[in-house]
Amino acid sequence: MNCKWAEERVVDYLYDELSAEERQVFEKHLAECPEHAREVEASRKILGLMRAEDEVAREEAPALAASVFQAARERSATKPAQVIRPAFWQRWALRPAAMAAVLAMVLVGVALLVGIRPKNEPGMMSEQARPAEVMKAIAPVNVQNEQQASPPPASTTAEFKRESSDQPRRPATSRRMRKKPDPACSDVRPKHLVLRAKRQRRRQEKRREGKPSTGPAACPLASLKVRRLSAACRTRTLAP
Amino acid sequence: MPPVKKPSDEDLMAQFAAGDAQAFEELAERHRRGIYAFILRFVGHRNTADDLLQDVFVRIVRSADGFEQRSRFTTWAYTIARNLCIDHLRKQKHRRHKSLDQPLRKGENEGLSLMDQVATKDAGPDRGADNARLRTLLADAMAELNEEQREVFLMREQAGLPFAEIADVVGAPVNTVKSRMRYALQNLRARLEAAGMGLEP
Repeated sequence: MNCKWAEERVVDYLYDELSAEERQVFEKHLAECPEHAREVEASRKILGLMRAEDEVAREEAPALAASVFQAARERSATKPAQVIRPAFWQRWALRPAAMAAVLAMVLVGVALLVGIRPKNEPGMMSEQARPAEVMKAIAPVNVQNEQQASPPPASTTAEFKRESSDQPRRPATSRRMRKKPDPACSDVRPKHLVLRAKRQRRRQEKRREGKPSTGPAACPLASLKVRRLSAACRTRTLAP
Repeated sequence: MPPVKKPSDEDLMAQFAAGDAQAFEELAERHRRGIYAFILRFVGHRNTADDLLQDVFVRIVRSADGFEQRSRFTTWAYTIARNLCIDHLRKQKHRRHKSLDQPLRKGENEGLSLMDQVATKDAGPDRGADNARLRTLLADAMAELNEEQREVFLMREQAGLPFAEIADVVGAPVNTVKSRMRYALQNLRARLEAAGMGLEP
């Protein structure tokens, strides 16, 4: 057989990396070529000697210095905080997903507001098929679901809009309600005037408490101003 | 009850990267000997090998973040060891005169080195060599290989890396790596036979 072909495969043969057919051909060549047969034989011996010697070298291996383990412990001590923080590509990879979720939520919200909803929703079909008693029994749970998923078909878009905007029902005393400014005049009176009026009222009350005999006319000018302001306020709101 | 599976080197490395110092100790215990034998064969001196062994593990600690889960720990660790050995030998070479390992012709990386010419056949063959003599012979023969052949030989034999991975580490095609392995074996054989070690059956 061809010596060049075999030469390129000596190492593969030694490490058993030839295919079955190739190995057969190679071994046939070894039987015919004493030079390559000697090379393979000698190589095997060398590898065997080296491996035996390695065992000795391995046993001689020194222990690692305490300073190496110390370095490892020091590194570990500073580590956990860094590990929790994801790599920046991970942080960026999360972004499209978050954006998609936000977009989906916005779309659902818009769809609810406009009153578009998919026809033949499987969930709705089964709900309609349920006997009335069952519906009654699960009514408390379903009230909200129904409001969200299927507004009564009779309701106009405008009504539905109002209802859906009421969705997260707050008690009448919720912060939003309390904060709501008095529609009568807050929109026309600048804030500093409101505050001034308040201050004057307080001063008047104090005076009343301190000198009950003088009464509300203790400072006629001030009360006059207040009265005039509130009158202006009323006229302006009524104007349009 | 199924036997408790030992964590892989890569698992341990991930644990260490996440702040578990115990995982590092386990890794060090697993690989200290193999890496030492590799370095000792590479540089040929015990004291140097001891120092370099410590350096390798210090570097493993320092660059634990650079370890990628996809790669094999042994490949990574032995690459560190190999680079440190090469750095060390380069520094030495600068201090010393022309190395016997240098190729005869410029630009020639494989094949015969200067040693092939100066080695004498009449180096007092002493058949019936005892173990100590065999060890020095092997160490000398290894030290006389050129760097490229030696690193391939050691990465395959000592570190147990497949040829494909060695090719990645040294940045050469697999076939070149296999050729270097063959030349390494041929050179070792020539040296041992020159020293009177009969390798023929």
